[in-house]
This record gives sequence, structure tokens and C-alpha cells, in this order.
Amino acid sequence: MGIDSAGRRATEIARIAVSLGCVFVGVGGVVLTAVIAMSSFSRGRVAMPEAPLLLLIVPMLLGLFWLRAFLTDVLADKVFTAENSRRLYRIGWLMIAGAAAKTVAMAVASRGVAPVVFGFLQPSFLSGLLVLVLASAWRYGSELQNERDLTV
Amino acid sequence: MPIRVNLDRLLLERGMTLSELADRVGMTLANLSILKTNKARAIRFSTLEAICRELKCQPGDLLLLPADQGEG
Repeated sequence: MGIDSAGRRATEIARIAVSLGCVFVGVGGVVLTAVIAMSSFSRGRVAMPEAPLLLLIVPMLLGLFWLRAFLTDVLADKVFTAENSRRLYRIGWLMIAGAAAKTVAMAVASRGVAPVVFGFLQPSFLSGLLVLVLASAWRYGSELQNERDLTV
Repeated sequence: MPIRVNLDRLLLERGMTLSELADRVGMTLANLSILKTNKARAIRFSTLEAICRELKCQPGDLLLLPADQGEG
């Protein structure tokens, strides 16, 4: 027994979207790296001050890979598993870390406190918190699923 | 899990294989193997009834609590 047909269709669409996201972010990251490097070298600079931006690409790709793996398992009727719960925890913490990094960057750039105060209201921070709540519920669900699987 | 399932001995006494029992009670061999190897966390009354009916035994013949676990 797995998800219903409407849920399956939504999961398939989501997985396609996430897969395209992986390609877009991956290819975009490579192109951006090349453009920044060429721009720097053409101006006679070896260092790339814009390089920290590229550091965002790796966490984004990681999050998208974990999300894709999660959706793949759901489609295979492996919904409530311990591994899916772990993936949700990782994605949630990644979103929160990204929001925190963005808040710090904004605070440094503006040399003010306001970005820090309002940083907690960022959609990615709130979404990350919600994903952590979901991960906790998913862990409970995986325990219930395990009990069910071992009930004859 | 302290409760032991005494399926091996009962099958031997009745001259029945695990797959035959699985067919008769309408369970998959995989699920019955979970029970036989004491990996099951719980058993439904309907399953217990079906197994006892086919093996012509009582639940107490199928499920055993080892003596050292029974003392409280």
C-alpha cells in the first residue's frame, strides 16, 4: 500500500521539476563559474571576489539531490522510511543554514541590525523550520510503518 | 523479543511445510517467515486464529514465554 493516484501524479511532477532544477543549478553553476573566472582573468585579476556566490551552488545541488532521492523513494512506495526522515532533517537544516548565511551577508553589507531581526521572518527560514517539523513527524511515521511491517 | 513462536516443532509434528501453511492461512511466505524467525513485533488475532485452525493447536501451543522471562 502506498500513496494514492493523485499523490503519485503530484510526486512525479515534483520529481521532474526537481530533476530539472538539478540540471539548471548544475549547468548554471558551471557557466557562472566560467563567466566569473573569464571576467576576472580578463581584468588581470587572479582572485575572484565573486567566488563566495559559487559556494551557494553546492548546498543548493545537495538539497535538490536529497529531495529527488526522497521523491524517488515515495514513488517506489517506500514512503515512511528512516532514510526519508533523515533526508528531510538534512534539507530543513540546509534551508535554515542558507537563511542564516543570507542574513549574515545582508547584515555585513548594510552594517545594520535590521536584517538580523527580520532574518527570522525569511520564507526560507520559516520553511526550513516547517521541514524540520515534518521530518520529526516522518520519523514517527517510519517507526509506525516498521511496527506495521513486522505485524503479521 | 521474549515471546517465542513454536512454529518449527508444530509444522514438523503435522508434517507440513511453511509454504503449505502460508497457502492455507492466506499469508505470504515472507510474512510467515517473519513470524517463524521471531522477528515479528505483533500478531493479529485473525492470523493467530488461522494458524491455530490449520495446525489444530491452541495459541498457547504456538506462543511460548521462556521460563526465565515469565517471573516478575
